Amino acid sequence: MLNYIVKRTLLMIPTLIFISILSFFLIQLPPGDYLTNYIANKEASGGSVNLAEVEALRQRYGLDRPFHTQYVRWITGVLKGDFGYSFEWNRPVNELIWERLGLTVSVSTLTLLFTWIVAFPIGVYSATHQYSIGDYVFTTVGFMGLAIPNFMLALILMWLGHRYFGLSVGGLFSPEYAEAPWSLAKLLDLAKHALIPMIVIGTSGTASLIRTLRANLLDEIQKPYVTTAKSKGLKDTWILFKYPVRVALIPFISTVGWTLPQLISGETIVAVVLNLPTTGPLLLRSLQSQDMYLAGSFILMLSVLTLVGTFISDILLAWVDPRIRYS
Amino acid sequence: MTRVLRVKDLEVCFATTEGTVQVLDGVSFDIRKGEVLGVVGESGCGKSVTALSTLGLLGSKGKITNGEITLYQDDGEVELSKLDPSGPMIRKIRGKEISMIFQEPMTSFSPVYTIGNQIMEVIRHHQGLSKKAAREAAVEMLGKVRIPHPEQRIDAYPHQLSGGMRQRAMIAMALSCRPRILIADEPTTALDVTIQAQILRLMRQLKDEMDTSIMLITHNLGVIGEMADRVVVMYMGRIVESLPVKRLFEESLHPYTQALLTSLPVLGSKKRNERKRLASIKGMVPDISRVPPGCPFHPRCDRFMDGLCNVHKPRPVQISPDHEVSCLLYSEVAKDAG
Ligand SMILES: Nc1ncnc2c1ncn2[C@@H]1O[C@H](COP(=O)(O)OP(=O)(O)OP(=O)(O)O)[C@@H](O)[C@H]1O
Ligand SMILES: [Mg+2]
Repeated sequence: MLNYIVKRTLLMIPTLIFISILSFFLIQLPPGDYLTNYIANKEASGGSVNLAEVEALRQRYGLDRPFHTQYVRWITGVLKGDFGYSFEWNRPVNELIWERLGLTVSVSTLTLLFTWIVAFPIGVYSATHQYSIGDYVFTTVGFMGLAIPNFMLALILMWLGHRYFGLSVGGLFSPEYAEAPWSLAKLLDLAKHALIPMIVIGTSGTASLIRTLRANLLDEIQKPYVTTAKSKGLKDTWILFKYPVRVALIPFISTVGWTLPQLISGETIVAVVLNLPTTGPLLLRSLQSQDMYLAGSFILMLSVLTLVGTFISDILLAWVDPRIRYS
Repeated sequence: MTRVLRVKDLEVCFATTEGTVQVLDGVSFDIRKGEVLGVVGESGCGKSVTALSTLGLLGSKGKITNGEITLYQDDGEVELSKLDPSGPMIRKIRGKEISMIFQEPMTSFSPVYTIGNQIMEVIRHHQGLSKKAAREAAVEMLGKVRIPHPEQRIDAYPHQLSGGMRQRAMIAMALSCRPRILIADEPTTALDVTIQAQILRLMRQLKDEMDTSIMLITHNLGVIGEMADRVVVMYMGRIVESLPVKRLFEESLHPYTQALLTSLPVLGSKKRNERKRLASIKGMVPDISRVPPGCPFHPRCDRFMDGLCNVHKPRPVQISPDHEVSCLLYSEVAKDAG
């Protein structure tokens, strides 16, 4: 096992280097840079541009240098903790991303937990009570959850929450806490606001996880090793959780790896609708305006987090299934 | 010899999408202390169902509709067919009094636990040993089935062992609580020819050493000849003949047994080959949901007697103390008519 972890960790280093190059390359791909964009916008709206200032910025950030020089400059900064400068916000990238990344990770983790806590018992119940009334009910609800588009679910839940439960909806904080320092009250406020996003973002994931768990478990329950376990005189529930459930859990563990990217990419629209201060909307905007250091840092950090997620899920998988660690 | 298990008039039905099908019809036999009882018959004749019913493992769709399965213990008898299949009584029998090994040693072990974990589990469950003591007992069992370096092999996962070693480990697990009866459902069919012979020899040795009785299920009459003391021949959920193996090759009476013998595959022949030769009995086994009237074998029988075999259900006839045959050729009905 230790062997496997070390191997898997070493493997992450080249991947990280590759990803950082790729993210930097991608944000440079559109023609021009933030400054040409900026000049064009200014001129289109009839304003005048201080060319000397622009030139100074260009010099300072080496925007006229070749790709590899710019990359090396950026990445050495990153390693020292300096992610560069956001042209659009006129602030260092560091000041912009950490809180949003933190919130994104919190929302993903909460969503993941929500998904697991709901999907696990329902999936196990559905598989062990196949074709029972409960199974049919969960199946129907599950398909509805899969079929309703998330932004619609968001709107409906926001309306319901506001109309019937008096929740302040939208955003992750009430106005009085938004700028306040962290405190227990602020945390509670966050939890209250996170409920709807969690349900919205988690519903389709939960529904598909239930389907997968049910199908896998039904498959596993029929395997000969379950008959063997029964022939040993063990209790049915003990057998269920020790043997087939453990194998059927594999898709659960895989979700650790892909929840985060799914949350960023697929759910940006939900974040926009719900007005969440997570990364999605800001990333979208920085990409549109070619705010390269901000966009690049976001992409890099999100990739790193995804990599970490995959790493965790791989380790867990190897722990659950020994065949992985010996192959 | 004392008996350890008696099955009497066993009937088993399965609920299927097309309605209920009866797959066992009046199966009766004994298993005696220390013997190997062979059970043969073509695929689908109900060998596995017979084995599973003794352990109450027919599943939610299967049901014992008639008959008795009696286990004789030192301190009395237990009626297994009456026990709740998910209750605590039958669980005290499984793995302790009667244990079972299966055809596929790969899929019969869970791939995600070491064989040691799975063997120790049954030892601890039935004997309440500490982890350490259970481990020692498991190592000892692995040694008994001649797995080299058992102290190391105990921590191997099933996929790290060869097929033969896995089946040895399976035997070790099944015998670890010294059961009265070991049911082996085609234990060597999935293995190489040379390995087959080794495993069979091992089972014989351990049976004598541990004073266990074996019910050996196979479609290979060669294996029966090698291993068994007595044999029961099954056809479509019925026992058509039962007799001592040493008389099987010369004195068997049922046309089905004789047909099986003439298509006898050599011991250890590959399974595919074996199927082909068994199929050389004229015609095909009918679907179990459409059992022919009278004797179920009559459409394929060389010695079919019109008006008798397709009308009367043959009853078992006692030929000699250990030899019974269910065929109208040897029954009163035929003699009256003739
Ligand atoms: N769970 C089940 N549901 C419905 N029918 C079943 C079930 N299990 C077994 N049967 C039927 O019972 C009959 C006997 O099956 P069984 O598995 O005992 O045959 P077998 O003699 O062991 O054959 P094989 O040599 O192929 O293992 C078959 O016709 C089979 O279709
Ligand atoms: Mg079978």
